[in-house]
Amino acid sequence: MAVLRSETTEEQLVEVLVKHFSKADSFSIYREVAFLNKRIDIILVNKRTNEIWAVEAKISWWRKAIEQAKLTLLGVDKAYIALPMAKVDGLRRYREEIEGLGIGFFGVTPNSRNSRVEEMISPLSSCYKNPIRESELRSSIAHGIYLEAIK
Amino acid sequence: MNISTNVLGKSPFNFLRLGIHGERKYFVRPNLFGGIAFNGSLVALTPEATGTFLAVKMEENKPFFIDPLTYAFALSPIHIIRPEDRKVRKSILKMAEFYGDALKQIVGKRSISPSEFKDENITKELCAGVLNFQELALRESLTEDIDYFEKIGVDISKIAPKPTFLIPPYFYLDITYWQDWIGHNIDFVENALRLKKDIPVFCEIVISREFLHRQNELLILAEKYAQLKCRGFLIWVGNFPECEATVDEIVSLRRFIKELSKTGSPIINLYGGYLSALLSFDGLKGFCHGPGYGEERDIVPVGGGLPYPKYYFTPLHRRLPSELVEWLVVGRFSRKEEFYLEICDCPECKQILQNGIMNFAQFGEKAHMIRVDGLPISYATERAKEINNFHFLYARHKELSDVQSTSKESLLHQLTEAEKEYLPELSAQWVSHLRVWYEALSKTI
Repeated sequence: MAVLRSETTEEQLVEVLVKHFSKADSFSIYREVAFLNKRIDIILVNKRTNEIWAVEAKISWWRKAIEQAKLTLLGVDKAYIALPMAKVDGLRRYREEIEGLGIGFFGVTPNSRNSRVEEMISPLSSCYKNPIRESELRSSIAHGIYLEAIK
Repeated sequence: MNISTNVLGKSPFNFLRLGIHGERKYFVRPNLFGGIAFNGSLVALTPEATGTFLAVKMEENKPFFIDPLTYAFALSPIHIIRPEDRKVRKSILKMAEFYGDALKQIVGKRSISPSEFKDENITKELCAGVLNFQELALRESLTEDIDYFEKIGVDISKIAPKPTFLIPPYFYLDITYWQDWIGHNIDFVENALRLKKDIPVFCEIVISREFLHRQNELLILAEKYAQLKCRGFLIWVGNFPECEATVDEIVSLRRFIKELSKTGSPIINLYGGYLSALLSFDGLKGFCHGPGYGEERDIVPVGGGLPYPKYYFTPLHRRLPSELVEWLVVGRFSRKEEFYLEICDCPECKQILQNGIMNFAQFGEKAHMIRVDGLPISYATERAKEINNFHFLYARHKELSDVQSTSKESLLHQLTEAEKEYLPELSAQWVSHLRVWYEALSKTI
């Protein structure tokens, strides 16, 4: 059984997620993209459809993760929260709220040999999308207002 | 003269605080606020600019006052020193110059202690200095520009600003050391009254939040201050954000206000918001705030500090992150008319939303840049700050009109209705204060 090491950080979680999405070669991937008054951990731009997905990774802090993902729905087509699989017990408490908002959920198992990313809740297309915010987000990507691009 | 009815108008009355001169643009619509509050630090540092602003820019003869901030001299010098060069802030030095030798000699070196006021001459000198500063600093600053005023045909004697009331020196009362200071604070007021100025004297009472948990001590304070012959009171509870107040704290504050109001003198909260407007039913005459913020303040830092702009969400009577309101708005409304009906129909909101509801994003307009470590950061644009602040002024004006014309029962009912309406979407973090206010204000005291 994969065990979350106590020293697992948000950074490691993001690395696992980036590696996971890089495999398919379907997405342009950007890390720490400026949006509103914060940064989105991972932005995925679908190379075929041009859809934008956001992923907010957190070690715990369910409430903060939900609040952040909720606001990213203003600028993206789909938003996910990602937490370590070891913290997934909390999902029982928050599942209804997450599903109600249309946010997706990834459980992540960081493991040096066999990391896994599992979609446990599928997101809905954002019904909070504001074209002005979408355009701002695309502009941030186009103008390099992010930490790193993984094409 | 009855200050409460003749000068300050209907309750609740609001004073808009000018924190920095960059905020003067928010004072161009004088019908949106009742009076103007200045901190002594701003007046001491820029008397000419402040005096000219009042005399020339403010077309209406607005009530105003200057908070002399004397409590700053009893704080550890660390609170009045600039961290970058370890020098005393200029505004504090200037105030000390006006206030006399006792403070001038110690400023930046040590704090003043209560025992120093056992010398009656020091008390008298400080009182005279503090009152003269409020009465004359702005008036005298204009005489330095006498040529300019003559040139534009203005008679200075007619426009010289005169404060609506004067505030004697005062020092902060915390729950541990209040007994060391209270006698001196009262002496300052009595001394000021003996000076027989032709401007009314208001007494400022600054207490720590802990007093709201100590009924006996709070009532002793109220009794002592109520015996003074001053013409009004200013109260300031340090570090007391109204949206985070508990039921017991609000009930205590109501009792304190009620006790003081038995004097028949107006009571003004120096830092307050909508809760303060509702406290007018318990005898609070009015309250002060900045243009979009400044509804709460701790005693340190002394003056200064501008917060991140937020949207004042009138249904909840509090500021919210504009992105959160945008999320709510985009999810709820498809037409701007629905927004006007449910949230706000002020001229600022109508201007912003004229081309569609999605333009609400302008309230949260951001600019971005890359830090040296490569991480992007965002900050609110000047325009976003401006439109949020103007919207706030309209919203506050409407709130005050509503409180003036609506029964307490109806206003409390509105709180519970708003709680029911927004709790499911916005979570308790942003809504629970409504329940607390309702419970606290419904109690018979």
